[in-house]
Amino acid sequence: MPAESAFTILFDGRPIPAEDGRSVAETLLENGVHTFRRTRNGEPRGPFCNMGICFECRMVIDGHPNSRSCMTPVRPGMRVETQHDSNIEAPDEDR
Amino acid sequence: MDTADAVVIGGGVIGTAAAYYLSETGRKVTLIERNGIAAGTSSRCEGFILVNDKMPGYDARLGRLSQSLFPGLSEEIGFDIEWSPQGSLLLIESEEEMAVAEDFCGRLAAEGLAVQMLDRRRIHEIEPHLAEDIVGGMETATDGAVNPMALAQGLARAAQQRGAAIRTGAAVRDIRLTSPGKVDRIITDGPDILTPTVVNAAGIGAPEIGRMVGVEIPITPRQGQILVTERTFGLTRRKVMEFGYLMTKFEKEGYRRRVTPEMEANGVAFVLEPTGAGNFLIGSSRRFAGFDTATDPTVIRAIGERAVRFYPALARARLIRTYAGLRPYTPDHFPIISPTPVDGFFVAAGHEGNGITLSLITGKLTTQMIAGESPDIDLKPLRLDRFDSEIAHAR
Amino acid sequence: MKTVEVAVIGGGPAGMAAAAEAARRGASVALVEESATFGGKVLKTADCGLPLSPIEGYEKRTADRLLTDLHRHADRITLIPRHQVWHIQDGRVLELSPVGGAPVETRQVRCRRFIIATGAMERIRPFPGWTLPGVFPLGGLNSFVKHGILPGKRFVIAGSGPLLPVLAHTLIRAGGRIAALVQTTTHREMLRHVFPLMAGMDAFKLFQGIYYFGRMIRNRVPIYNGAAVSRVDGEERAESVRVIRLDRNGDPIPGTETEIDADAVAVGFGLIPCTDLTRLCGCREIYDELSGYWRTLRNSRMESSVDGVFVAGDGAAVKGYSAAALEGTLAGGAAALQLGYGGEDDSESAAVQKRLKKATRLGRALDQLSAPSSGLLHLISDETVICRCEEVRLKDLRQAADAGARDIHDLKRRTRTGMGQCQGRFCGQVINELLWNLLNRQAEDFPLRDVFTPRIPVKPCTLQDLLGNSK
Ligand SMILES: Cc1cc2nc3c(=O)[nH]c(=O)nc-3n(C[C@H](O)[C@H](O)[C@H](O)COP(=O)(O)OP(=O)(O)OC[C@H]3O[C@@H](n4cnc5c(N)ncnc54)[C@H](O)[C@@H]3O)c2cc1C
Ligand SMILES: Cc1cc2nc3c(=O)[nH]c(=O)nc-3n(C[C@H](O)[C@H](O)[C@H](O)COP(=O)(O)OP(=O)(O)OC[C@H]3O[C@@H](n4cnc5c(N)ncnc54)[C@H](O)[C@@H]3O)c2cc1C
Ligand code: FES
Repeated sequence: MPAESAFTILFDGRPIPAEDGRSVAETLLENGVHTFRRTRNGEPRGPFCNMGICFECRMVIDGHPNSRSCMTPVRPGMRVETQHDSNIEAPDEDR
Repeated sequence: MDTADAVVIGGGVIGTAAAYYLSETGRKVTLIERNGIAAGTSSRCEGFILVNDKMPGYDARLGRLSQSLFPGLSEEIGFDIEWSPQGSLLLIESEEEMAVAEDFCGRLAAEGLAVQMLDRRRIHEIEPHLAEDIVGGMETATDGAVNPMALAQGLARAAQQRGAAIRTGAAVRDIRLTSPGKVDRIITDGPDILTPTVVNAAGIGAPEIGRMVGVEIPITPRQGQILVTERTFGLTRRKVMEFGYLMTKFEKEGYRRRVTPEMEANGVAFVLEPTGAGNFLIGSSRRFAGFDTATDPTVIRAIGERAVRFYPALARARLIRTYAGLRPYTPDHFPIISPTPVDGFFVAAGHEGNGITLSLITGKLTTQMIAGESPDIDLKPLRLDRFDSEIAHAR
Repeated sequence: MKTVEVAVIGGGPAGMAAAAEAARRGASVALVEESATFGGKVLKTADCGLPLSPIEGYEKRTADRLLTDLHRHADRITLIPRHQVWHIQDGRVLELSPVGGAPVETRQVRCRRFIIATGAMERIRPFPGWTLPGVFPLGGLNSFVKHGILPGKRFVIAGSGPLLPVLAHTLIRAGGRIAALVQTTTHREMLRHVFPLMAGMDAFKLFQGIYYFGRMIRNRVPIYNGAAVSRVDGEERAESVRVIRLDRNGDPIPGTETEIDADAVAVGFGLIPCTDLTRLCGCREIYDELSGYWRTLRNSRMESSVDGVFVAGDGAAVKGYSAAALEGTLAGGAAALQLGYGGEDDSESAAVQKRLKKATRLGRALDQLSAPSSGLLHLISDETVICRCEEVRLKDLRQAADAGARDIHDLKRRTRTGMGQCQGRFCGQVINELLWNLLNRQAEDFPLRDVFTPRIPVKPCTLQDLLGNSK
C-alpha cells in the first residue's frame, strides 16, 4: 500500500489508521470496532446490510448525525463518533 | 341482527370520542368502521392540540374547552395518548406581520387564553436554530400535541371497556327509516343493527352517509401533504408554525406572504411537529384534489423549501416518507355537530384541520345533544341548517 | 431537467445492457445509478484487490464487456452515477437526488420510455440475537470480506440459496475460519432439485457450483444440512451461535440445539426483487408461491402492464446476472423499437428465448430451494426485534394484535413497525406471516399478501438533496 494513501481518522477522539478507498464501516471493523451506535434502549448496533438500505450503521460523521458509515468513504482527519440515539445533537454548523 | 341504543359510524378521532362519551351515559353503543381504527384522516395528519390558530371568540372558546380535556386523558382511559404539553409558537416574518399578530394576540388574551408576544431577542434565545431574520413570535403555553392514532385507539378501547362494541372491517351500506322519517336500522357488511340513534362521524365520508337518509352535508375533502424526517437531532421541542399559516387557513384577503407561486398555489404554510418518537412532521399544504391521497414532488419541494426558510438546519434532516390526508372541509371552517331533519340522525363531522384538537369536545357535545342535556357551549353555530341557503343555492 | 428518449434506472448488468442496446439502436439514453460505479451488486465488486479466482475472473470479464458496450455508445448515453431515483412522476419524469453529498447532475429526467432495473435485495428472517453487532446478511458480510475485511475470527454462515457457497468461497480465500456452514436445505431436497438446477445451468454455472463445493470440501468446512441458526448470544457483540435441526417440513426440532463459538455470523435466504419503483408506477405483479415473493408481470419484451414501463433483471424476478443482462438487452431493444428505431425484434429470436427460459428455470429452482420455511418464525421470541429501525419487538406486535389490529397497516399504526428509515424493507418481508400467526389464522383466510403502501421518497434523502440550488 503506497504511503500517501494511509492516514488516520478520529474515532470517539482516538486516532485510528485508515486507508484511501475504504468506507468508514470497513475502517472501523478492521480496527476491531463493532459497536457503531446505541439504540434508544441502549442496545449496541453495528453495520448490517453494507449496501445502504438498512440504516443500522448510522454514526455521527464530521458532526453529522445519522450518516451511513457503510456509504461514506474515509477522508484524512475525519471525525467519527458512536451515535447515541437517545441523545442526537444538531450538526456542528447549526449549533 | 344486533341492537344498540346508538350507533356511531366512523372510527376516526371523532367517532371514537363520540363512542367514548356516549358509552359513559350507560347507553349500549356500537361503533362501526369500514376499515381499521384511525385508518382515515386521523392517521394522515399531525397531532397538534391548538388554540393559537383559532379566531378570537367562539372558535377560540370551543378550542380551549376541548384542549382542557387532554392533559388528564391518558390517565383517565389508562392508555398513553402521548400528550406533550410543550406549548406552541407562531413565527413572525416581518414587522408588518408583527403588527397584525400583536392585535390577534391581544384579542386572544382578552378571551383568557395563555398567549404572549415574544420579541426578536427572546425568540432567538428560546429557539437557537431559527433563521436569523425572524422578527418575533407568539407563544401559547397551553398548546400541545398527541399521537392521533393512539388517541383514537385509546378512546376506542376505553369505550369498549365501558361496554361499547367496536366493529372494524365492516362498512355501513344503507340506513333504513321507519315511515315517519325516523332512524330504524343500519345495513352493514356484517349483521344489521336495529337502533333509534345514529351519529354520522364518517369524516370525508359523511356526505355519502347523509345521502342514505336524504340529508345533504356540505363536506369536501381538502388535501394536505406532510413530510416525515427520520429520528434526528432536537431542533425544537415546541409545535411551531408560521403566522402566515392562519392567513392561509382563513383565506384572508389583502394579506400577502412573500412566497413562491408553487407555495401560493398549493396553500403551503410551514408547520413543524416534533413527535414523541423523535421524528419531525413538516407540513403542510391545502388544496382541493378530490379523494386523491398521493403526494407530489412539486408540493413536497414547496413545503421543504418553506421549512428550510424558517429552520435552515432542517436541510440536513433526512426525509423518509411523505403522506397526504384529506381534511373534512366545510364552507365556513366550523364543524357540524347537529341534529338533522331525520329523527335520530345526528352529524359530528367536518372538522377540517382541527379534528384532533376538537375531538374530545365533539364527543362530549354530541353526547349532550343526544341525551338532551344542556351543552357546554352554544351549539347554534355548529348546526347543519346554517348551510340551508347555500345548499338550496347550489341546487 | 434533462430530456432523453429512454431513461434507465439502475446500473447493474440489466440496466447497463438496456442502456447500451437502446443507444446502439439510436435512442438517446440516460442511465441513473445510486452508487459511484456501474456493474450492480456482483460485478462492481468483482475487482477488489484480492487476486481473482476463476469465477471472479469471469465476473470481471462480464463487467468489462458490459462497460465496453456502454462506452461504445457514449455519445448517446448520459451516465448519471451517485444519484438515486426517489419518484417517477406521471410515468414520464424521474425525480433524482444526489447521494452522499455528490454534486448535482440533474434533478429531473424526462423521457418517453423507461426501464426499471433496480435489482434484488436479501431475504431475511429475524431470530433472537440478530441485531447484535457481528450478525450480517450473507451478501453484507460477503462484500466486507471481498474487500479484505474480516469482522471476526470464527464465522458461522447459514441459511440457503446461492449466496451461501459464494460467501464460503470468499471467506476461504480471504483466510477466514468457518466454524460452521449451516444449510436449511436437506440432502433429500438437494437431490430433488438437482435436475431442475442442472437443467437451468449453463456450463459456467455448473463449473461454478462444482468449484465452490470442491473448495468447501478441500477446506474441511463443517457443514450442517437441514439445520438453522436458532439464536445468537453475546453482550456487546456475537459470542456464540446456536444451531438447531429442522424436520422434514422445515420446523425446528426442540432439544436439538448445538452451541458453537463464533464472533461473526451471516444468515440469509436467497434474494427477492426490489419492487418499490414498479409498485409506485402501478405495474401489476403476482405473488409467486414457489419463489416466495411478489413478481412483476411482463410480456416477452419485458414491458410491464403499464405502457412504456419496462422492467429487467433481478428487480422483476431473480435469475442472476447473465439473465439480467439478456433481459436488459431485450428491454432496451424493445423500447427503441417502440420509439421507431429499426432493428430486429430480439424477443422473437428462438435462441434468446431459449436462454431466457433456461435462466428462468434455474432462478425458480434456486428461489424454491432458498425460500425459508414458515417454521423458522417459531424461533422468534417475544423479545426479538422485528422492526430494527423502530425497535419493535414481537411482544409489541402481539399486544397490538390482541388489541384488535386487523391488518399490517393497522399493526403499523399501532406499533410503528415499518415506519423507520429502511421503510419496512426488512420487517415487511415477514409481517404478514407474523400477523397470521399472532391472530392464529391460516394463510388461506387472507387472499391477499399485503405490502406496506409505497411512499415517496422511495429512497430517503435530505431536504437539501431534494431542493438543491440548481435544477
Ligand atoms: C395534513 C393534515 C394535518 C392535520 N393536522 C391537524 C392537527 O395538527 N391538529 C388537528 O386538530 N387536526 C389536524 N388535522 C385535521 C384532522 O386530521 C381531521 O380533522 C380529523 O382527523 C378528522 O377526524 P374524523 O374522525 O372526522 O375523520 P376520519 O379520521 O377520516 O374518520 C372517519 C372514518 O369513517 C370511516 N367511514 C367512512 N365511511 C364509512 C362507512 N360507510 N362505513 C363505515 N365507516 C366509514 C372511515 O373509514 C374513517 O376511518 C390535519 C389534517 C390533515 C389532512
Ligand atoms: C446482496 C447481494 C449480493 C449478491 N452477490 C452475488 C454474488 O456474489 N454472485 C452472484 O452471482 N450474484 C450475486 N447477487 C445477485 C446479483 O446481484 C444479480 O443476479 C445481478 O446483479 C442482477 O443484475 P441486475 O442488473 O438486475 O441488478 P443489480 O446488479 O442489483 O443492479 C441494480 C442497480 O440498481 C441500483 N439502484 C437500485 N435502486 C435504485 C434507485 N432508486 N435509483 C438509482 N439506482 C438504483 C443499485 O444501486 C444497483 O447498482 C447478489 C445480490 C445481492 C442483492
Ligand atoms: S449497513 Fe445497512 S445501511 Fe449501512
